[in-house]
Amino acid sequence: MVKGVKQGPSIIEENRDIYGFIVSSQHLQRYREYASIYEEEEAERSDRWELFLRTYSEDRQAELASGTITSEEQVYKNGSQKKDSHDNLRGSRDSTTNVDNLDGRLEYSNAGKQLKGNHRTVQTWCSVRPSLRLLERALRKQTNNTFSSNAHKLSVATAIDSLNSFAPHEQPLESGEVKINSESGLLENQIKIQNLAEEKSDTTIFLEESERLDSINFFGAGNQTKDKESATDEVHKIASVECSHKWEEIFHPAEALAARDELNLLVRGGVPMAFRGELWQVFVGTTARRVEGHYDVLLNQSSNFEHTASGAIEKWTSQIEKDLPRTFPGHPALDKDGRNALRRLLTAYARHNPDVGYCQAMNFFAALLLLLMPEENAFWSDSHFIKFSA
Amino acid sequence: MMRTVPIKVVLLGDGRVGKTSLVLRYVNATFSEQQTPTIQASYLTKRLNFNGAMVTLAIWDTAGQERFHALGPIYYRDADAALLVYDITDKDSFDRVKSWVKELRKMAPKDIILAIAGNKCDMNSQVDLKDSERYAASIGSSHFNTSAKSNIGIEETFLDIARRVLEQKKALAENVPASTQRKTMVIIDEPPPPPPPSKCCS
Repeated sequence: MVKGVKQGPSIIEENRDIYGFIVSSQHLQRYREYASIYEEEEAERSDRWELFLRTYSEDRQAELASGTITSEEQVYKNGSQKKDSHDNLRGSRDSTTNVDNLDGRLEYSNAGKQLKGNHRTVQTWCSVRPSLRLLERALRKQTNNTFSSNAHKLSVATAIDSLNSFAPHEQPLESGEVKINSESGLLENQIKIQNLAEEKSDTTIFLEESERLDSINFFGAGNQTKDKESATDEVHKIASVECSHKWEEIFHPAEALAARDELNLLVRGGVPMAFRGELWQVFVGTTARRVEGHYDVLLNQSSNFEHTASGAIEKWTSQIEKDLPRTFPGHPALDKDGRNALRRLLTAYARHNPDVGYCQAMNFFAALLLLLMPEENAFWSDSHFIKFSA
Repeated sequence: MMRTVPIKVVLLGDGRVGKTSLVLRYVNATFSEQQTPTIQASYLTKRLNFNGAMVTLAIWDTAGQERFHALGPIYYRDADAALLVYDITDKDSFDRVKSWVKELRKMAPKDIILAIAGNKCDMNSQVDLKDSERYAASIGSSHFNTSAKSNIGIEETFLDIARRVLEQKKALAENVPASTQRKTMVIIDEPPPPPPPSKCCS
């Protein structure tokens, strides 16, 4: 409970570990002693992870060829295309939605350099590398299985209810909310639906479920072509697809158990630095949590909100400002750009969840996540950590 | 026979006024421009020889953010003394001290010793120091201008706290049966509160 304050002599030398944190002088010698061993182990770990991912990516390819999971994949692809066109229409700065190439890899190898203090590329969202996507889905399906189908139906029903009560371009805004534009109104609605589902039960799966439903809602409403009926139909379809999938079906049944055991071992052996940010996202289900565009809306509230909202937001802002320079002071990644990203992230979270707002220590979580992943990924991961560690 | 007298001191005050820096300066003789925020609380001890009496100051350094305000009672509950810190460059932080005093009056042990420290006195003050000294006197507290950065007034602050706590304990020990009259003891111990200040202050 109580944090002991170490007798830290003032920092003079720049002795940092590979994550960019200062190694305190009493540990420095040991750190140097073990550095080579650590490097070897890290290389070994990376190899094992890569082998694991390669193995199961190939399986996935085989599966795709045999056509067992194409339907969902199809929907996913459609969704992402629409996302892209949507983004183009808005002229959003989020230009990183290209899903199925190797950009992820490159960007993440850049992330390693960022830690060493080089110039940071402004990167708001990045999907996990393709080789991890199968694992991501498998992990989601696994959580799926642990919940009873009854509860499952409940959440689907809730989401559909909200869907039915939802009429495009008539945003029931709460008092005090600022109507930014019709699109953000839609997003507000998405979030409300999501929250509704969350109230019913506090488990990841419902979140995923409702978000998936929401995305259909979103695209349906955005296109103005689908009517509610067909959207609801699709909801049912997707829901059934979701339910039927199991870890065993994602992987080859014979290998599912082996895959799971291997994953357990790998995680216990440690996650190599190059994979860490992405694996955290995979375990947390950041992609599933994400509501497209919500982060931007939260950020854009600033200009409108600061004038209208009462002291609440303002209070968080000043507390965040107080803590910004005190978060990992001197860390090379937390230069001006880094602090701006941290400010945006914390402010966005305070707006996303006004009940919690900003609490000291969030800054450390957020900064740590920012070291490992792009800003919006960090936002969704952070919101998950805060929600489910409480 | 030497006996160590434990004294529990709790630091309270708004965020980023320099509570942790004060303690670290006092206990470790260090100062960092970039002190990280205290999350819940931290605990340090300092042993000192006070006129032949061994004293261990158990210093509880609390988190300043308003969010953690509700945790206050678990730290000041058995405290012998509370050191209320504010930032002389931040007027709001002094208001926070006042609200802490109100709460301590209601909730804390009746005989708790109060001390107020106006930190960052190496910088330009935004708070009327006379005003705050007068306020401190009116609540029976001492007031110090401190600076963790320039190491001003910190030693004095903690020594004053130790002295007053010891005096109080001694007075208590001499009147063992009158333990119920703790409250009176304090009042005798302190200089009588001055009459309310007149309006004029230059």
